[in-house]
Amino acid sequence: MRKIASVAVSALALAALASPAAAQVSRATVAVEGMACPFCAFGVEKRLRQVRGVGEVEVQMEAGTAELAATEGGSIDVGQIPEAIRKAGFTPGRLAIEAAGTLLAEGERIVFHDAVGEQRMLVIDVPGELEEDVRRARESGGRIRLTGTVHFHAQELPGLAPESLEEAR
Amino acid sequence: MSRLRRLAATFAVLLASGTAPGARATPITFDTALPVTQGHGVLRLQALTLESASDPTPLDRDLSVEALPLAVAYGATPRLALFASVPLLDKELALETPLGRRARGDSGLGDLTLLARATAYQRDEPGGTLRIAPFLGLETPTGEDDAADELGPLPPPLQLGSGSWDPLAGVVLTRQVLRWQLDGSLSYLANTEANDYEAGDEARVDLSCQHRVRRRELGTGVPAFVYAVLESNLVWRDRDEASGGVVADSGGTAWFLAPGLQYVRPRFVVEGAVQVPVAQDLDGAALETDWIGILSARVNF
Repeated sequence: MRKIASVAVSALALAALASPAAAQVSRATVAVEGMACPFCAFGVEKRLRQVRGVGEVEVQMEAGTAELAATEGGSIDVGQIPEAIRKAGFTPGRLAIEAAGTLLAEGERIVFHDAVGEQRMLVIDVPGELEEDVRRARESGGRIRLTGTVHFHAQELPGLAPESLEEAR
Repeated sequence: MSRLRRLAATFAVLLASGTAPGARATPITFDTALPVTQGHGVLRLQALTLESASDPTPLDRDLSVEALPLAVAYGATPRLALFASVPLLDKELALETPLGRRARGDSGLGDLTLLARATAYQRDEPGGTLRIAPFLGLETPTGEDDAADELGPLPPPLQLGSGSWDPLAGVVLTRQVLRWQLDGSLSYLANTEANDYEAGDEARVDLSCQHRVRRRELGTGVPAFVYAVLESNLVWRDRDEASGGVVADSGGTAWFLAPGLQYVRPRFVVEGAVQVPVAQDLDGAALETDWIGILSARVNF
């Protein structure tokens, strides 16, 4: 009986880690510059569907964007998105994400870790009204949900400029 | 028999320029500079019919060409697209002769054209793009070029293939925004000699203007687009040469306009146009084109 209870607890712990609420990049919206006809949009959609962790893609022709949703329990690999757009023959623009994870201090830097531990992003350009929230989240190490814009530089990690932040329940 | 030979010779001379320069024109379908997604492709099937029946001479020549060109485009890289196209052809020429009205022609696969197009300039913006892409190609002699009937070998213009390796080159420019699209193409086809016959080189200036109609607001998602299309094709062709001499009744310049419609969905495009001559200045007794009808479908895969 005790063994069964132990297995059940372990399974619950794993499920919590892998569930959508646990933390990952759950949504992304990327601007696709140069896309101006439906026939071209098809290639963008096909390429974005091949990005790891992507379950759904919806292209918005008038807005010139593609909206991505993660697979059940998955995390969208944001690093693959710009290359997918380029392979479709277009230019990637602003990339905004909704994600959950933790903020950890690494030396002087604050780094966002998604909950499944696969993606790390350097927190940059924190607006004044979020500075206190970022500090608290970093000190507590608790789980948060945030939205922000991803910037790719030549540096080791992509940058993440947060736009909203709240504690995850 | 000698009368039949004379008749065959008459056919050869008349057909030297029998297919007017517009026969290869493909408005609504001449290439754009738009991208082909890397690792993916586009399949295009056309149905093209050409009629040249307004012959004022007593020969009352009537040329009809039905063609089903099949083309495949493949995105090798984001900037390099490879194309292959081959037509299924049915050519027939009828005319009055001393032996009565006769018709000659052939049906089957034509010459395979291979083409590579590289994007040399690309400027993207939200909802618009400007691209310039030079292309290089080769018409390969896959079509039958030695067909014959009871009158002897068919003259070269009635053969399905040229028998020659013909390089072509050009450049295409595309400016596209959500509301309209403009394409312009300059190209040159250098025909070479085969079977003691060399068709004249061909230069083309193609323009296409597409304007989105039907829906002003796009709404969410990817709606279908309907474009009204107007295309212009200016074609110049040099004189043919046979047995080292110039064929007098060959070559010339023709200008066509082609109004059409395009229905565009993410997975496919259906389009149609009628190409009509505005001006034809053909050399000698070359047969002018009356009209060319084109239906086309493209599918993403």
